[in-house]
Amino acid sequence: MPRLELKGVHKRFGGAMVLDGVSFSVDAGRVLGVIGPNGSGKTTMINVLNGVHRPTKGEVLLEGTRIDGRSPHSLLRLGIGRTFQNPRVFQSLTLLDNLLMVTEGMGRDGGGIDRALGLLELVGLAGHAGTLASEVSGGQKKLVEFARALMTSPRLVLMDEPFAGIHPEIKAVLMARIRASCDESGITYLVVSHEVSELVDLSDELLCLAEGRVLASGDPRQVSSQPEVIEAYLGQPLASNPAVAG
Amino acid sequence: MALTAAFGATTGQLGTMRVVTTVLMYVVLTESWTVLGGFGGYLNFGMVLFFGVGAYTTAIVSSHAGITPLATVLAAGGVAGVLGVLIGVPSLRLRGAYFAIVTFVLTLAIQQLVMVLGITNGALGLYLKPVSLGPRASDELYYFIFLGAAVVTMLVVRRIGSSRFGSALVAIREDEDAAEVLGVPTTRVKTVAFVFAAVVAGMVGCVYASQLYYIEPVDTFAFSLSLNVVVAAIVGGAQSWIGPLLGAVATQLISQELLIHTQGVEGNLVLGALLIVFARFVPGGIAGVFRRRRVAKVAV
Ligand SMILES: Nc1ncnc2c1ncn2[C@@H]1O[C@H](COP(=O)(O)OP(=O)(O)O)[C@@H](O)[C@H]1O
Ligand SMILES: [Mg+2]
Repeated sequence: MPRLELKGVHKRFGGAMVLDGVSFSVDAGRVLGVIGPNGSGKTTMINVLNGVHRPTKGEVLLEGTRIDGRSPHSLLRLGIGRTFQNPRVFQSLTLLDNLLMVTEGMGRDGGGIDRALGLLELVGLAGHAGTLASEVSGGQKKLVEFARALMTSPRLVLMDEPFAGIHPEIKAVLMARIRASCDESGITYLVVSHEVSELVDLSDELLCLAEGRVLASGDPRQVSSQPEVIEAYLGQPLASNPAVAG
Repeated sequence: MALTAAFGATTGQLGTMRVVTTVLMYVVLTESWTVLGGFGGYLNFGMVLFFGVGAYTTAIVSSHAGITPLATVLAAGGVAGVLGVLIGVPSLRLRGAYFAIVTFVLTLAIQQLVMVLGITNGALGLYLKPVSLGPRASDELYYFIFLGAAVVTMLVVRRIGSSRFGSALVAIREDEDAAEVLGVPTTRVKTVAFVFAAVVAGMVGCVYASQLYYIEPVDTFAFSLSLNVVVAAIVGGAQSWIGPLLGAVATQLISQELLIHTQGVEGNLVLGALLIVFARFVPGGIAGVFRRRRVAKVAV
């Protein structure tokens, strides 16, 4: 049974059909990369998957259980964590408190703190545990969001543009940690990104979304070289197309 | 706190003790307000709504049941709490400013309702049975009731501040969407915090009605009470239990002092000015000035 399965998911905003029958599935311990031009519905898909939006039509299943229409906090309890396109950390709290805020691991007992410090260590931020989140860089905020998602003991992590606008060194840390937690803990990742070459390296499978439909999916190298996929990015080679970076 | 309490107990002047009793009443109200308003960042402009409903519950229940008004404190808190649920569940689905407006508008609506209803005796108001104590003993009774209530409320709010529930509220204040994604049932958490303030305000209204033994709609539902609480919280700093204490003492001593020497208009002007200055230049209030240093220490 796949960890996550979408069956004909539609999402309409007013007159605009932003997701137009999206179907795919992904197994435990796999990284699914999602590419697609701006406005193709990638963020909307993540919002549907973690309960921010209810699909207009279609089904979302987590290990065979229908989850569409549930609230984000109840989906977190079922093991769906996420990060945001613009990092949403709690600015006036320390990095440590940002992790301790997570309900599932929030006990202020030693266990919760040790776990949080361990995760900060994992992303190379242990030295900043006491720093206010407002005082770290944008890239470090993305690392905090990633650690915070892991703090929720997830089965599925949805990441929206985790590599956009961050220092190459931080990008490398993030990619390595995603891969490692996937292989070691069997967490499934759905990673949305513009950076196709990174996604090709990171992902087990790649899916291209265009105008709310799945244009192609499968082996990352194959998908990224398909003519329709390249076409969707204004007919230029993916990795070197400046229009893709916005 | 100890200072104010000692002040009230030892000076022995009736006037002073009444001033301190009022200060303590505002400590209780502001502490309870701070859970949703300070931790959670949702401005409740309706404290007097629950205060007034508690006062009227006490007046009606005590006269119908033939019991002493103070014995109805749980009924007053309970009715105010139920009203809190009825208002909170729909209105706390709204974000930010809408909620503040709803609490304000409902205060006016309920006040109007109390004006016209038979059971509340309209604008004429209701009389209660005073406690059978001399004026001195009676003042001491209410002083100690509010002193005890202030201590208990502070301890409860301090406890909430270091609990999961308190953290959930801070997460809501900081970023409600992120809080929801991190597993916080945001509407439920906000509603519980709101109902907590409603229950406390209802109980305070009971003691107030008993102390005054006459209530009528205009003073009992005076919007200035709601406003005083908000100003006290912002001036003192609404992000920990200590701020409401400092803020209630500071703002009440100022406004009561001005009230004695002037007609009261100046009091409101000074409070208004304080509100602007603190909201603009001292976002963490009086307590925030100390808190900033502590954060760095605690975190490591
Ligand atoms: N809450 C919303 N209400 C109305 N339209 C929306 C909403 N969210 C997204 N959209 C629209 O859906 C389309 C896809 O947006 P989005 O999912 O953010 O794309 P992507 O993340 O792929 O760039 C855009 O045209 C956007 O304007
Ligand atoms: Mg997007």
